[in-house]
Amino acid sequence: MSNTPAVQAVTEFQDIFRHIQSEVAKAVIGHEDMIQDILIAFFAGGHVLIEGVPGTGKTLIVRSLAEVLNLSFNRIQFTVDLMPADITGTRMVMDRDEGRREFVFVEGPVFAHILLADEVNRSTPKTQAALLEAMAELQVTVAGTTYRLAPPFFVLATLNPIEMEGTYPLPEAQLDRFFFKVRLTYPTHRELQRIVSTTTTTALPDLQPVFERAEAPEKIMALRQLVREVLVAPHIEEYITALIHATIPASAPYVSSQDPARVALPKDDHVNRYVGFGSSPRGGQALMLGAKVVALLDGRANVSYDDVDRVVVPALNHRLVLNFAAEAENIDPTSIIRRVVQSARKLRR
Amino acid sequence: MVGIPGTEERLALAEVEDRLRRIRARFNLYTLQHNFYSLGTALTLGTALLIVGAFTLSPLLFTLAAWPLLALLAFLLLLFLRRGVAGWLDLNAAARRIDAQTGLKERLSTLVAQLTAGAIGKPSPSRLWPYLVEDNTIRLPSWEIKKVAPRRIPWSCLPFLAALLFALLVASVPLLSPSSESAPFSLANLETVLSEFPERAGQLLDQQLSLLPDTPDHWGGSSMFNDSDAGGGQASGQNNQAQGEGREQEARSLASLPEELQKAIRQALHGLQDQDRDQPENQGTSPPPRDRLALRPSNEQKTADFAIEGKNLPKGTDRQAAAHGQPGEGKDGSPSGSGGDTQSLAQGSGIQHLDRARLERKNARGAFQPDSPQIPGSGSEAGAGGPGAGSGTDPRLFGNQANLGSGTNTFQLALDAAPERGRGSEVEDKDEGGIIEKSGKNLSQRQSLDDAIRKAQIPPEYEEIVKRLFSRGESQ
Repeated sequence: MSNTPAVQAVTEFQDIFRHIQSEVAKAVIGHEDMIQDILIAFFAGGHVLIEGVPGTGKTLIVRSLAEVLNLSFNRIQFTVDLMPADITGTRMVMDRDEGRREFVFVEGPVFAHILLADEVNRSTPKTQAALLEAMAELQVTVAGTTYRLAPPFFVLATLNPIEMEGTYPLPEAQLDRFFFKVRLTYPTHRELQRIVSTTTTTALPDLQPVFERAEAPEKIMALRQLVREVLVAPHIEEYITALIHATIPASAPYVSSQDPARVALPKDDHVNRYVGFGSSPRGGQALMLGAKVVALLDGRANVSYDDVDRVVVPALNHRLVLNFAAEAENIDPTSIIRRVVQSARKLRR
Repeated sequence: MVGIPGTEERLALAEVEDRLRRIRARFNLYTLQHNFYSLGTALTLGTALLIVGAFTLSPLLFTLAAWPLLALLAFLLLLFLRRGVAGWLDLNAAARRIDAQTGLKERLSTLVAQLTAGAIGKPSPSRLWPYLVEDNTIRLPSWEIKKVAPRRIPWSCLPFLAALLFALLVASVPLLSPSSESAPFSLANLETVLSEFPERAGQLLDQQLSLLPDTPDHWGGSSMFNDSDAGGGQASGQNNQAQGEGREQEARSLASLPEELQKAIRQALHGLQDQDRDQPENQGTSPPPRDRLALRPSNEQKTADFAIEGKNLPKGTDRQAAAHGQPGEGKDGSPSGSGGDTQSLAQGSGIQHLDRARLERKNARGAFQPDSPQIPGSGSEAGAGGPGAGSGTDPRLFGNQANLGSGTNTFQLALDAAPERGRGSEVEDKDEGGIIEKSGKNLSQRQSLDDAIRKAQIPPEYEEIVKRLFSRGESQ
């Protein structure tokens, strides 16, 4: 490869991405794929919902990431009594030097580059909804005034699948705003052994930031821009579209019967039986952007089928709304997505 | 950069596009062949089934089976046509196929998609566009034509050839099957016809020759006295052996007559002249009959009154003709056969005997009764096939077969001998006399006509007709 600016950009992206991975891996043992998914979503400009049992390193991953990226970081522990103003900020009466009192907007924890919403499902829907605008629009409206969030804005929310009493499951609209949903599994035997050995000594992991604090946001935004410049062939777009349509059951409401393209990919039997609502167009966007990041990581300027397949599970598994039959039969959305991908392979030729 | 002619990037794009077009043409040709061979296989097998059904099924069953089969073939035809159309690749599809085969991970198809969308000549769609071009240029060796499309001929040609061979076998089975033996052109019938052909041809020739007048019976009389001649005609005279043996005693009495008397009898009857008597090589042989029809080489002017001259007849035939009928004086002195003895009966008994022999010959038609003059072979074969000597026609009737086969195969009826002699020697005519009209400068109208006819070059196919006409004229 010659030393053209394009080549340099791709190479720089790969280097930064791998550097971040390696630095986070100093603090987080195992979970390489999950960390990579989180980074993919980060460079794609999305937010990540992390689901895992307590003690598997969810918070550690986010904190480590913020430290390595050298970005501002806030953490919100969601509880039942958490109010929206506790997230977005509020107007408070402040005394001025002249003795005047005026309302001053005090920024909430949402005003940070990286926000950790820990156990987000424990707050009320009203509080959860306060996060929606910030995640989708990168802005906060308080008392009729809109405040822009400084990019990059990256929300990492965690879910605790156990202890569901007193929790408020995230509504579908809010779920859809998360770019990826990553499930943290238990560490393997060897990973657990390393965790036990390395985290119980006096030596703490020394994480080196990848960027300087001043230039970090710009560099990250430049990398995000590079991701969006990855070239995509029309047949890849067709493939992504077919995948999204394949997750929508034939009996789903709000489906246009006038679209002949929807029948290009036959519906999987599991989709029709267990899926209540399929993926939204945001799912397609997530697939495309995530695939672009994967392509850059692979040193390519174009998206391939494999790139799409790589991100299809984290991009779609929280966007499928399963019906009662699926819950009764304990059907996992991931298995349905894999079946859809398998049936879509014929579109590759 | 993209869109600027002459740049390295543009050259690389041109190279990529050129190779892609060649591979695409090869893909399409392969697909076309594959569908053609597949369709051909189906159609050939269907045709073979129709052939089998036509020979094995009843008309009703064949009709019932043929229509669904034809419908199936029509369906297959449409199916393969549709597949052919669907399999026809454009540049994008060819690039996708190459990507899939070589693991390029959609690099090439993405590049071609940008090209076909009109990336050249427009602002670069992305900062990464040069990277994509360079990436594809580096990977050009990984999708060489030989790697991507190594085969020019699809595998489906083998089933097609097998089906074709099968159909040919099926089509040829009716010809080889036992049920077709009654067919007139079966191999067995043809072999039978070929084996019987010489015998039938001989019989047919004998029948045709027997229609000629019987007058030349007696010119063969000289051969009747020829013992060696009889030896040559032994084989052919076996059919008349019984008849000949009954007259053997009488023939011997004729042969025992003095030579002068025999000559006088011949002259009195037919005016036959022993034209070869003067020839030294024929000395000691009996004078040849005045053949009404004698085959001689056309380039020789002989004194025979009537001669059919085979142009390809080898020289010396006249000498053989002279030896023809020489009693017991063949050059090799071969012993006489019974055939010769049989013939000697008619010759040696005078007019009455000749008439009786002629009558007997007429009665015996169907067997060999040659009315045309026979040309004996060499001296050792002298008398072979003599007049009435056997049932077979002398194969040398038309001269040397080999020469006939290679020559012009034209014949000439000649009456030149007597007129030439007439012009050259009037005395000779006087001496010889006979019933032949005297030749001379003032030939009669009929003689002139005959003369013209006999000198004419007669194609072989008209030979029999001319012979018949000539003989009819003579008999009249």
